[in-house]
Amino acid sequence: MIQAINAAIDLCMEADPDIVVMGEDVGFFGGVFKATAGLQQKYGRTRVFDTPINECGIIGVAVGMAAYGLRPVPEIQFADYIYPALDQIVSEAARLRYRSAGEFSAPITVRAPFGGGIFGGQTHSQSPEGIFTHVSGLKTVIPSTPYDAKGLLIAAIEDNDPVLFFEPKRIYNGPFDGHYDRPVTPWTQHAGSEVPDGRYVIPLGKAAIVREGNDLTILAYGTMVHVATGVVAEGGIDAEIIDLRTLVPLDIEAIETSVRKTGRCIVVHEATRTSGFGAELAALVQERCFHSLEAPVMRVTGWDTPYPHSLEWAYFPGPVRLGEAIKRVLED
Amino acid sequence: MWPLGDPIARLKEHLIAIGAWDEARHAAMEAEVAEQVRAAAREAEQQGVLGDGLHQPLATMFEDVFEEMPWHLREQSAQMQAERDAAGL
Repeated sequence: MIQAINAAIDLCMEADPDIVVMGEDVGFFGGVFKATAGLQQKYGRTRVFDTPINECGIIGVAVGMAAYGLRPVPEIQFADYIYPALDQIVSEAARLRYRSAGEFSAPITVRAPFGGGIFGGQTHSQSPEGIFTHVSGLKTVIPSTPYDAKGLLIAAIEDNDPVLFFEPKRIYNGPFDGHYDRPVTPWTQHAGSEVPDGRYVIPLGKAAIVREGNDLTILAYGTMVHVATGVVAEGGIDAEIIDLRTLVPLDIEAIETSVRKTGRCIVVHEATRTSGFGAELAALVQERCFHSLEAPVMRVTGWDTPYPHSLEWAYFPGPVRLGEAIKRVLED
Repeated sequence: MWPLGDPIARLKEHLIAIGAWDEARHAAMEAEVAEQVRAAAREAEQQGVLGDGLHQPLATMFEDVFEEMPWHLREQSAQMQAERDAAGL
């Protein structure tokens, strides 16, 4: 997935001289996950530059550049570090177009590795997407395969609104079905790893039906798409798995069509339970599909605790937890 | 806050003391500036005063959140209108 992300940024930078990349270690080092490797050598230090450890400044600088006509793609090294930049994202980037009646805007794409399953503990495993889906004026995008990562990132960069692009770091190198004691299967063995050269776009706001099914709808994004796929395969469940890909704006039609067909719905995400994006999905599903539902909408999520380190695998919504939820929903 | 007194008042006294200003000119200037401020306020109030009701078409509230309006804002805008219609507003 790293190469797909790198290719997306490279392609966009070659086509548009206004695109600039900044963040901690993104220039000289090429990024701690190597997502921006080679870009500074190719485009120079005025277009790809390292910043101090100052997330507020990284986004503040990006917003200022964007307001004056550039197209910044700043990186927040881990989504866990995004909070100092919250004010710049929420009070500035998200509202610039609205409060200037369109005279100014902030076409920034904030990239951040997010999510757990990497033994990273409290400070390297968080999934804060629910904070940003709550803020009007922001788009939130989460890929689950290298193919999607490239197409979605190009779409995000070319989008004229501020976009949060959360990259599930657990699946940078290969899909993860939740069995942490098994070796990582690399992307090369997965269909979603076929990444064409050249530019292609996956439109924002469109979900993907990863698996068609009739008995149950599973709404997922990021790493959880693969956990769900694994659980469903292992259990022989006829579930329809939807990879949302964009949280805001949401592909509500795909969700409604599926739940009206299956009558049962599970939402799964790593982020904490209370006020997580799953709460929004559950609200939407029951508002719009109530009479089609045979059982309550269930959420399988991270618990309402800081992300644990030694107890990670009791927290992570893995095959055991999702499997239990599926059983309960189908038996209701 | 100002141990030596209001700086503007001090400047006025200083200018009068060096013969560059006088009380009559000061009174005239204050009257002229006050009228400028009143005129500007009157012109601004032509646009409407806050307690006056709505100044922009209601639907504009949902514009410019994004470059293009997504489905959920179109839906909310319609819902807002429906709520007001139902309440007779």
